[in-house]
Parts: sequence; structure tokens; C-alpha cells
Amino acid sequence: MARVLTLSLLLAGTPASLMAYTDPGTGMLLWQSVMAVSIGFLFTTRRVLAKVFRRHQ
Amino acid sequence: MPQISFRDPDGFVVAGPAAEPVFRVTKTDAADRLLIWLASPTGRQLMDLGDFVRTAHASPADRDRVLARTSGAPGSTVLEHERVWFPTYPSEWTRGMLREAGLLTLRLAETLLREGQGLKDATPWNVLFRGAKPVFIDALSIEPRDAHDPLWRPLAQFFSTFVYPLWQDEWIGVGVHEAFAGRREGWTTHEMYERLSWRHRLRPQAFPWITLSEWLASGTGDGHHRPAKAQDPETAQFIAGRLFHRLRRILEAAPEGLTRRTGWSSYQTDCHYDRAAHEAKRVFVAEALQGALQGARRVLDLGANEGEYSFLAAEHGAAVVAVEADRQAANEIWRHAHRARLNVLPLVMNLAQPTPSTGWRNREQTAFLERAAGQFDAVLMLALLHHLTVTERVPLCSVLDLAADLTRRTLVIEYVSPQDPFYRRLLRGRDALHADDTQQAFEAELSRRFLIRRSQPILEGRRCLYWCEKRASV
Repeated sequence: MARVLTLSLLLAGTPASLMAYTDPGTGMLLWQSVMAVSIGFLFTTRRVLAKVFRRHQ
Repeated sequence: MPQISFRDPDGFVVAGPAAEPVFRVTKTDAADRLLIWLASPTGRQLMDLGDFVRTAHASPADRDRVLARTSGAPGSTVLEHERVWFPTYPSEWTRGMLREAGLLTLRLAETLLREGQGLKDATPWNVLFRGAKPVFIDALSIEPRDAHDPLWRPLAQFFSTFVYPLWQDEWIGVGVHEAFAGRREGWTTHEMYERLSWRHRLRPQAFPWITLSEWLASGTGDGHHRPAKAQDPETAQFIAGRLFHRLRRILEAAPEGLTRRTGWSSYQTDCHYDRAAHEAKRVFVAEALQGALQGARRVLDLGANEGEYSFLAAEHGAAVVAVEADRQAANEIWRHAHRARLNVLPLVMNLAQPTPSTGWRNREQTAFLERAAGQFDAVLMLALLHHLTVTERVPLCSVLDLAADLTRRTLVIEYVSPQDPFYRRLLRGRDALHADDTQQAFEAELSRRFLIRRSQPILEGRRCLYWCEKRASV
């Protein structure tokens, strides 16, 4: 669970400069971040669950 | 040696005469990275498949010549690209071409992701067409990817230049070529939001990528440009991979062609050619092409409609550029050529308003007539003349001057007399204005520039086909 929380916090973003060659687009970048958090959450959860089941077996 | 690209901080492109390769002056570290990737199995495979432009170090002689004639720093690396014939721009493409260029960009981005690389931009200006097949040409777009970065920075550009123009074409009838007229960067999310009605804003495809993005943007100030990092590379790669998968589905869901009828789509089936006249025309053009294309390879089909004669020329072994003002007819050409792997490249363009030079200092995109000059062994102008002289009110002598400028040798042209019903439809009662339009006057003007090798009347003499060779004096 700690892993999921860390991922979500990291994806929520820390202020810093964005190394983009083209205009990243404000809303598009935010929406992409939201998607990244959701997909990352599911991916990490799946990985954690897989580990738990492996341990039980 | 003119510089034709300006925006990439890592280098620029110079292009000399059409027979020469294209050169790219680059920072040495960027060139080294690129060449290492191109030497990898994936890089080699993409070049062999024709998906990526062939690229190599320029010879020392070319390197010195290019650096002496450009503003490249003395320590720069010069790369040599294979020249892709015939260069076209998104402002001349059909929707099928834009969609295919977008799919190629995504395929490349997905391939690169697996190798720890990325594309730093995602725009159709990075793609040219070799016949109906797209080829990625912006070699410096490839750069190492931050392994912890799950986001794709060019996403907004991808939507602005690939997805939004396709949606505009489908939903509000703005052709993709029009979407790029004077707009290199396509349409922003805000512009799309403003353009669309609520009915479109709430469509399932549009809602997250236009409406929600616009709401998110309007609710934020400048502090939103924050890099998001995943905890480990595997997660970042998975997230980016899912995004590319989703984008591919969005592009694939956009129809390759639209069923909306425009003025000239299905012209061949709707028009007044009877079976015998159509067959006579086809045989005449085939014989002219057979004669013209002995050893010759390049044909320009002006007013190509749905490409029947372009395909005929391609079947005779020619590389064909097919110009058609009607975007739907041009898209049908692309679809057929793409499916049948014919060497036919369609362009959406009104010959009376050919593409001008555009971009920074008018150098990034070259005017159509400049690109076409001296490039074609044969020019076809079938059932086009009356559109130019009547609808566009271009004098006959000027149309024939253009034909003589565009062809190196052969012209196959169809004369349409004022007695023809299609001519009369365009004339709309302005008979007096075209009173001197006679076949004799046409032949006299034609003979000044061309030697008439053969002619054949069709449709009871209302039309006549001419196979001509350009006079040496022209």
C-alpha cells in the first residue's frame, strides 16, 4: 500500500521545470497526469496483489 | 544551399538541387546518439521497411561543402538523408494520409519506448509520403527517454496536428488540408473547444481530450507544468505504453474515408461518358503513356478525380503525383493506392491556387510549382481545361504555358468544347465571354508550345484528346 501511495504522490507532481520541446498544453498535461495516476495505481495494485498471492502459494 | 528547417535546437536541414541528397547539420552528441540507434536492429529494420528515412554520415567532401555554405558550427556533424520524392505537406494531404502518418508516428513511439527512447515531437510535418506510404523523416526527433517519466510530452501536439484535424473533418466538414492552411501547429484544445457545439463537446471521444482538458486548463494558473515521475521504470513504461495504445485506438476509430458526397467524387460514374467513349479515352491515354513512358518514370496527373488515369500510369511503371481539388476524390485515390500499393501520391490542391511557399522566411515549405518544376516526364490534363478557363477564368494560353512549364516532354490533354453539357453547366449563360473558345483556336495555341503527335475526338466530337510532345524551343 505504501508503494501505491508513493506512486500517487509522485505522479501528482512536484513543481519543477518541464523539459518539453513542444508546448505540452496545460489541460492535456493535467489530464495525462490523471490518467497516469489511474493506470499506475492499477498497475501497482496488480503487482502488489500478484506478490501477495505468490507468497500465500 | 538553402536552410529549410529552423526550429530544432539540435540542428537544421539544408536541401540543394533535387538530384542531391538532403543534409542535416547537427550537434555532434545528438548525431552520435541517432547513429547508434540507427545501427541497432530496430533502426536498420525501420529503414529497410521504408518507415524511417535512410540516414548516414555525409562524406567528408559533402560535410566540408555543407558547412562552408551554411551557418553550421565548425564542429558540427553533417548527416545525409535519402531524398524522398515528391515532398508534400499536411496542407495538401487527405484524411487517410494524415491518419496513416499519425499511425506511423505512434508505431515509432511504441517501438522507441521499448528501447528507452522517445519522440520529442509528434507532428505530421515529420512525415513525407513515398507514393501512398508514409516515411518518418525527422531523424532528430528521436531522443533518450527519462526512464521514470510516464508522460508523453508531445501529446498535446499529437492531438492538435493529428486527431483534431481528423475530428474537424468528420464532425464539422473542415478538410484536413484546410486545417493546416496557415497553421503549422494545427488546432489547440481551446480552439477546438470554442469551435465545437455542446453536442460535439460531450461526445465520448471528445469529452476527455477536449472538454475536460479545457476545463482543467482554465482552472489552473502557470504552476501546472510539473514533471510527473513514476517510482520505477517498469511502471513508467507501462503507463506510456497504455497511452500509446489508447491513442492508436482513437486514430483507428477515425474513419479512413468519409461517405459524405462532394462535388466531384464519383465523377467518373456520374458523368456523361458512355461506355464506348470511356473505353476510347482509356485506350488513347494508355497508348500515350506507353509511348511517353519509355524510359520515363514520373507523371503528374492534374485534375485526377478518383485517379483512374493515375492508376493507369502507375501500372505502366510510373511514379505518379495526382493533384485533385476535391478532398474526398483525392482521399479515394489515396485509399486505393495504399491498398493496392501503387506508386501514386495524391495531393488536395486547386491548381488555380497552388500551394505557396510558407513557414519561417517562406522557406520551410516550398511552393508547389517550385517543387514540381522539371520533375515530370509526362503531364495529364484530362477533363480539366474547362474548369480552369471557365470556372477559374484563367486564359487558355496561360494554362498551356503552365503545362509546358510542368512537363519535360509529354502532355496528354483533353479539349472540352462549349457544346459539351459539362462545359455548359460551368458556363451558366456566360456564352459571350467564351465566344472564341473553338477547337481551332485551342489547337493553334497548343501547337505553339507542343507538337501534336495524335488526336482523337470522342463523344461525337464534343471532346478531343491530344497526345503532344513539348517543342524544344519552349
